[in-house]
Parts: sequence; C-alpha cells; structure tokens
Amino acid sequence: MMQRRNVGLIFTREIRDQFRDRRTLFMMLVLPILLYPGMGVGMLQMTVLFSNQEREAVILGNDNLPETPSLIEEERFAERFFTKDPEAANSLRLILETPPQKEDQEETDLDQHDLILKAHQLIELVRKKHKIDQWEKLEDDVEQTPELIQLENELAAAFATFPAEIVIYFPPEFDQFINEYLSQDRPADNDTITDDLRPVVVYSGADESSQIAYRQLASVLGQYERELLQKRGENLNIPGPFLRPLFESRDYDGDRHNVEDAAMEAQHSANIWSRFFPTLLILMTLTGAFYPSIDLGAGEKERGTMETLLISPAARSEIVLGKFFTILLFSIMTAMFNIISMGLTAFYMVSMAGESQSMRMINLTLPPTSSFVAMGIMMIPLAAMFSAMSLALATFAKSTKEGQYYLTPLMIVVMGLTIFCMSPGVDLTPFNSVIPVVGLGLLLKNLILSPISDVDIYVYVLPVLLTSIGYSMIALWWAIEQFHREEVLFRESERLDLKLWIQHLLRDKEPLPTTGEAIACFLTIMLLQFLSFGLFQGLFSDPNISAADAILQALSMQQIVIIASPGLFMGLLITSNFRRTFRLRMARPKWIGLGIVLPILLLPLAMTLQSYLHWFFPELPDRIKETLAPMSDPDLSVFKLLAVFALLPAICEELAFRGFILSGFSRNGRTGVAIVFSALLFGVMHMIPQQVFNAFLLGLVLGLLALRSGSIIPSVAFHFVNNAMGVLAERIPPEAFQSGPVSWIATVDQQGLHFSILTLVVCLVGGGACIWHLIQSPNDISPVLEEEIPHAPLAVAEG
Amino acid sequence: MIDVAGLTKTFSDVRRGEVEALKNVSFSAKAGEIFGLLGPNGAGKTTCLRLLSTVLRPTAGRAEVAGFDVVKHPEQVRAHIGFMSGNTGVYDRMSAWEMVEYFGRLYGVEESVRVTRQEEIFATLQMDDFRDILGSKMSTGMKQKVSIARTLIHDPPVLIFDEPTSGLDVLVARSVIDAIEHLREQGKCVIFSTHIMREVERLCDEVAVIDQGEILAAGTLDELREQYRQPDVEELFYQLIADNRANTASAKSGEDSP
Repeated sequence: MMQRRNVGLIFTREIRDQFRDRRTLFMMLVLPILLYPGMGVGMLQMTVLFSNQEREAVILGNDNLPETPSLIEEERFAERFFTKDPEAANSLRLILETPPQKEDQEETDLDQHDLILKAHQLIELVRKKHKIDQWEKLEDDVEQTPELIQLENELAAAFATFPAEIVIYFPPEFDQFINEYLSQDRPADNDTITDDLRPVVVYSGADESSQIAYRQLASVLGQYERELLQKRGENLNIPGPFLRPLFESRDYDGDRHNVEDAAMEAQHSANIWSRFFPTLLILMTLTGAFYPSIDLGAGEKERGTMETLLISPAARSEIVLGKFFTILLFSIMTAMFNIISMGLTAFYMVSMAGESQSMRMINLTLPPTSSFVAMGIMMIPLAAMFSAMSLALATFAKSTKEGQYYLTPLMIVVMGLTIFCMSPGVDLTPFNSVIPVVGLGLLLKNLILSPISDVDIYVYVLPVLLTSIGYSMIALWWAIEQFHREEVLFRESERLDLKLWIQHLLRDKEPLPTTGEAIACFLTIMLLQFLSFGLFQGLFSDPNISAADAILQALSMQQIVIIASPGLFMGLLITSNFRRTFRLRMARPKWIGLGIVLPILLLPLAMTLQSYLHWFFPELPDRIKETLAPMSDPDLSVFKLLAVFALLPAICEELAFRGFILSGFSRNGRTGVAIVFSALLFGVMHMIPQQVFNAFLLGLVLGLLALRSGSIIPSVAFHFVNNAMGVLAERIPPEAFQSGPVSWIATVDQQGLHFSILTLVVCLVGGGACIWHLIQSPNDISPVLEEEIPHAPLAVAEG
Repeated sequence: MIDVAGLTKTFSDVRRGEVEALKNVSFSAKAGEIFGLLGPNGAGKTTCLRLLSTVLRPTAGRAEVAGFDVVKHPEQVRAHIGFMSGNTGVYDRMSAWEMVEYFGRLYGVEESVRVTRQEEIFATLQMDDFRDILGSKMSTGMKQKVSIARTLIHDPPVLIFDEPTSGLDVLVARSVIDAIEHLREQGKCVIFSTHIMREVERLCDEVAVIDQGEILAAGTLDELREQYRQPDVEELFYQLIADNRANTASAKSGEDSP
C-alpha cells in the first residue's frame, strides 16, 4: 500500500535540499541564462567574420549579357543590387571569362585561365545531366540510371576540387533573347524559353561558403530579373505585376533545371529549428536529470543518510517515487529554462539581424507557438524516462563519482539516438515511433516542421506517448528494484581487484549463474555476432564455395561457436551445478508432447500475426533477401536444411537462452520476470526487427515450458518442430494448396501462405488451452538436482 | 518487546566468499530494560541491529520487535522503533530543527504533538543553540544529538542504538548515556551495542557477548560474573573472546589436517 503522504514529504524535502545546493541551481538556472546569449554573441561574430570573407564567382559568357540594363559593372555586380547590404558587394569577387580590355593589359593569368577551363567542364557536365534528366522525365522512369549517377558523382568530384565558390554561365545569344524579350510582345511563357537560353548556376549546398555565395548571387539575379520585367512593362505599357517572370522561379532556388546544386538534396536543412530544438530538449532533459539523480541516489549513500531514510516508516517504493518526482521536476525545469533562454536569444538575434545578407543564409523563422506547447507536453514522458533511468543507475553507484561513470554511457547512447533521429532522411515510421528517444525525437522534429511536413504526424502521437510512458514505467520499476536489493544499498566501496574477483568466481562457485553472469553471457553472444560479420563476409565472397553452402556453413558456425559456446563455457567455469544450469534432465512425457504439439498449433497464429503486422516493420534490406535467396533452391538437401535451420538452433539457442540465461534470471524465484527478460534477450539476438518480435513471443512460450518441465528437452523439441515446419513449408509444392486436404488448412498466393479461419480457430483454442495449462501448472522439481541448492542466500540476494 | 530466535544472515563477499555474519542468534529484551550487545569490531553487532531495524532481511530465523515480525510487517516495525547507528547520518542541507521535524512527519506524528515533543527533546538534549544550523556545519556531537532526537520524535517503545558514543568527547558521551538511562525510566526497551565496558556496567540490565556472529554468553552482568568467576567485566569480556577465537582456530586447523 502506497502512502501518498510519504511520497509528498520525501518529494518536498528533496526539492528543498536541491534548492539549497548551489550546483543544481547553477546548472538549472544560471547556466542557461548565461550560456545562450553568450553563444549568440559568439555566433553573431562568427557569421560576420565568415560572410566578410571574399568569395569567388566565375562568370562564363559575360559577353553574352545585354549592355542595358547592366548586370556587371567594372568586374563587380552593379552597386544598385546591394542597396540593403552594401558590404556584400565587396565580398563577392567576380572572375569574368572575357575581362574588359584594359590599357595596361598584362599577359593572361595562367591560373585564371585554368579556372575558367574547369568552370566550362562543370557547365558541360551539368548540361549533359539536364539532357538525361529530361529524357528520364519523358520516360517516366523513377529509378536513376547508372549513367546519371555516374554524372552526379563526377559533378560532385569536379566541384570538390574547384577553387571558386560558384559558377554562372550565360549562354550565347542570351543578350539577343533579352533584347527581344524586352521589346517584343513575345509571350512570356516559360515553355518558349528553351533550356539552351537559360543561365546555369552551379554551386554546392554542402559547402557553407558556396551556399552563401549562392544566396548573394540569387538575390542579385532576382533583382536583375525584376528590373527586366519592369523595363518590359514600361516598353509594352503593361503594368509589371501582370507579367509572368522570365525565369521559372522567383528565386533561383526552386528551379532545379537552371540551378545545379552539386550536393545531394538531403543535405539541405529544411528548417534549422526542427533539429535544434528537439536535440536541445532531449539532451537538456537528460542533463537536468543527470545531476539531481546522482545527488539523490549515490549522494545519499556517500553522505551516509541512506540508512537514515530506510529506517523511516516510508516504504522503499515511496522513497523511490519521492526521489523520482524530484528528479523529474528538475529535469523538466532545466529543459524549460534552456529552451526559453535559447528561444529568446534566437528571437532577439533574428530581429536584430533583420535583412542582413549574412543572416539570410540560414532560415531562422521561429516555429509557431503551438510547437512550443507540443514540446512542453512531449517533454514530460521524455523527462520521466530519463529521470527513472538515471535514478536506477545512480542508486546502483556507491559514490557520486561512480554515479557519473554509470550515467555517462546513458548520455552517450541518448546522444547517438538523438543524432540518428535528427539526421536527414530518418523519418517517423511505425517502427521508429516505438524506439525509445527516437520516436519522441522524430515526433518533435515533425511537430516543428508540421506546417510543411508531409508526414501525417497525428497518427503517431498516441503510440509515441504510450510507448514512452511504458518505458518510463519500466525504468521506474527498475529503480524501485534497485532499492530493494541489499547488495546495492549496502555495498562497501571496494577497490576492484581483478585477480581476487576471478578467484572469487572460480572458487565460490554457486550452483546457478547470477543475473549479472546471464547478462554477461548475452553480451558475449552479441559481441561475437558483431565480430563475425566480417568473418562471414569472407566466406560469402570465397569463389570455391557455393552460395548455399556458404550460408549453411556460416549459420552452423554461428550456432555452435557464437550462440552455444559462451554459455557452455561460463557454465563449466563458474557454476557448480552444470546439469541444473542447463536443465539437463529427462522431462515428463507430457511436457515433451506439449513441446511437439504446441509449435504446430502456434505457427499458423504467429505467421498470421506477422502478416498483419508487416506494415509496422521496416522493409528488409535487399542485401539480406539476396543472401537468403539460394536457400529456396529446390536442389538443396532437405536434411541439410533441417540440420542447419532446425536441429542446430534448437540445441544451441536453447542451451544458451533456456539454459544459462534463463537459469541466471530465474534463480531468485521470480519466474515471470525471468521469462520475459530471457525472451527479450532471445528476441534482440535475432537482430532483424521482424524476427525480434517473433522470437520474443516464442521465447515467452519456450521459457515457460523450460521452467515448468524443469528440463531443456521440451523446449528443444518445440524449437526443432517450429523451425522444421518453416523449412518444410517451403518444400510443399504450390499445387498442393489448390485442392485436397492441404487447401483446407491454408492457401497460397503471391503474398505467401493464408491460413483458413478454421485452422486459425483450432490453433487459437488448442494453443490457448495448452498455454493456459502451462501457466497454471506448478514447476516440476527434480529432488536430486535441487538438493545442492542452499536456498537461503538466494532469497537474500534479491531481498 | 524484542524477541529474536535463530537469527542468521549470510553475505557473499568477493574476498572471503560466502560469509555468515550472524549465526543462529537468539535473545530477548523486555520493556523498561536496557539490553547490551557486546562485541569487538566486526562481530556482527551492526548486522544484528540492522536486521532488527528491517533494513536487512534475515537469511533464516525469526525476529519480533514490539510485537511485529521484521519480515512480515517491516513498516510496522520501523514505526515502533527509534534506530541510530554510525551509518544513519544527518542531512547536510537541513537544519537540526528541520531534520527532526521531517522525520516526525514521516512517522505520522500529529503536528501539534510533534511541536511540543520536539521542543521538549531539544530542551532536554540542550540542542536549542544549534536549532538552525545546517548539518554540514555541525560538530560530531551536535549530529549525534540530532540523531538521538530523531529516534525519539515519535516516542517509540523500542530504541536501538548502535555504538551511540563512538567518536564523541567525554561531555557529549556522558549526556548520551544519561539520555539512555532516562529512557529506561520512561519504560522503553533499549537495545544498544558497544565495546566500552564502563557503559555496560553503568547501563545494562542484561548483556549478550557476541563474536564472529555467535552469542558466546548471555545474562545479567552478575550472572556472568558468577558463571565465569571473574569480577572484572573487561577481563571477562576479553577472556570470552580470546577463548572463542582460540577454539575456532584449533577447529580450523583440525579441519585442515585430520
């Protein structure tokens, strides 16, 4: 029974305690207030310096420009284009293809000559590309041809070594065209302006300097165009606004045909805030939780007040909740002060910078107020998750210093996830939306972009919020768990002595592995899997082995070396009861029978469920599909396939997951938690999202079966039958599903197998009954194996 | 008030492997009585008292405090004891008054009762001159007094003090001893651990000598003096421990070379 009063008392005390700590106040309040204006000033100075650098623009075909109105005067763009920002006129140096004749004409500068040559090459590439682009448009072919890709690569490579920032090319007869345009009532329809007559601009969006040069150029050309339009209007007595613009777009930016961006499109940022605010929000909620949690968790131990609190009548869950709410509050306040301070700084800078050329290079329009409200709401589950996780980790630590060590990995992981969801091209999908931090980060990003984003974000709000709240609850439960563990609360600060520790492991063997050892086993498996990628790559590229054999070999190796052996070795070395750890004993026939029947009942359900959920998971990369393609080769021996895909996994994976790992988790008697966690790890081991989900569900049943029967045999049988059916289903000729008894069970089409309603109902009832029976049954205990277990210390270990 | 039977606690230790900190310990203490737990450092006194205060859970055995089982009703047990040890520190960023006030509230003492009782305690323990001093600025003696005040604020029937005078100067130690004596007069059941024999002689109605997790002897001081024919308590204590260690050492060597 939870007393809200105690939680409240602890909460208010902790709050007061934090407010009396100058460091917390500094982190939460003073730092953001000073940091962002300071950073703003710094940034302003940097941009001023940056935009004052001279940038070079190569002008090709400048003699094709009409005399009036003049675009270029004395090797500069005409001054009248820079009324708003006169300084910018000097920052852009023009290199003309045909410089005006000067009296003291020197010999042609060799470097300049080279530059112009290179610029011509660039333009050549761009024009080639335009041609192909147009062809492709006609053919309505979405996929890029290799030729085009090669051209793009060439273009990017050529621009990378190009010394100037930007190139503009005026085609021959451009002046003639303009003159005609100005004087004749020629229909200003864009279609009549052929591509050959359009100026071409080449710059790189990935290069900051080139981008700034482009913005300046675009502004000049825009004004030039307006001038032309106005002149035409005067000549023809048509008021300006009615005229269609000369070049397709108001700004050169939108017109991809005339402006060639040598960077890939994804490198452009749509709106700088959509990345900045969510990143800041995520990192600041975490930072806000970071220091208070260390102070409230590890600090309490360090100052020797932990026991004072534990002997008060408050239950441990009440203590944890009181502390959790405190950290939550500080996390939210820190994030809020940061956002407010940054928002105000940004707002001030935008209003100050005004129309200045240098500031227009980035789009600084602030997001609407509604985005801030949304951020405020999203912040709560985010902060809750971070607070609970930090508290659990900080409680585990013995000192504040140790607390920082434990929390740093959390920080790094969160940063990685944040960078992932802020990178271009990553967007909300059903799968992404349930990943911790990523889902929220993406949702925030899209909320800020919402007026221009094309993703229907409101579908995702509920799943993201619910999963985030779910993660917070799990993290909180974990924190409460930590407070129930004596060895966590009363650990003495001891220097880690590796030799002693290994001696302890080998000497004081316990019959079963500990939870920590089970996790270590899992991490070893994952590490080996990671390392084996390179190894298997070599195998696949070996020309002496057929593709199918290579896969079979790789999978066998993976099962034996990577999955089974870590657990077996650890079991031999650090547990005293090998047989019990791996549940090596006979099971009652009932359990073995269940192990054979249950997968037959569950497979149709699992497959149907998966087919309903396929929208949720990201598409499998083609590479994996290609790798697995040789497996459906009908010439492969069925026995070989069964051995590698069914028998080996059944033995190896069961030994590792239902043997060592499940034993480690279940040794303190909490079977439910043990089954869920071992199933979770079993799922994660499968890497591919679809399989992770399926394996997790299977893992639940397998874990239950292993615990109830007290033996590994039923789960091995289950695993074998399950995998074998998958292998055999591939071998049933499609004709068999057309008629006869097989068609009553299932039919097949392009999408795969479809089970009949009858099959599904039978499976649901039968499978459900079996699982219900499993849940209700007590564990079978072998008296011989149990004997050696001293019950007492185990009960203590977990409190 | 306190009833302990077969209490056992084992830890897993990196250096020593599985350690039995407390082996099958039994004793009992009544209201209006001061029970002394005597033993050298590392004997298992603190573990025993921690089990009674429910911060640790016993591996085996049973313990009842003020009529409540420590495993089944830990919250009730905690509500009926005042516990102080070297590990129950004082909050750095709280004043003496706030600290006692906070625990009074956690114990659910009615506000008006708490204020009068707190004034009383602060007066008897002479704490009024550092009422508003923060924990971080307090001397060891001040902190000890705050801790004692904290154990008394809910007027519990059972008080558990783990080496309450360690690290204190003579003056403060004397006032702590006086306070404990005063508690007996109020009919409390006090259990306290120490290795200072003078305190034992002055305070304890009954004692248990503990070493290496086992109770070596128990009874009133007079009973023990008679049983071991040793009028000097310090000598008696020393003999018991020395004999016990010699015994375990010979038992061990006997094990090693049969």
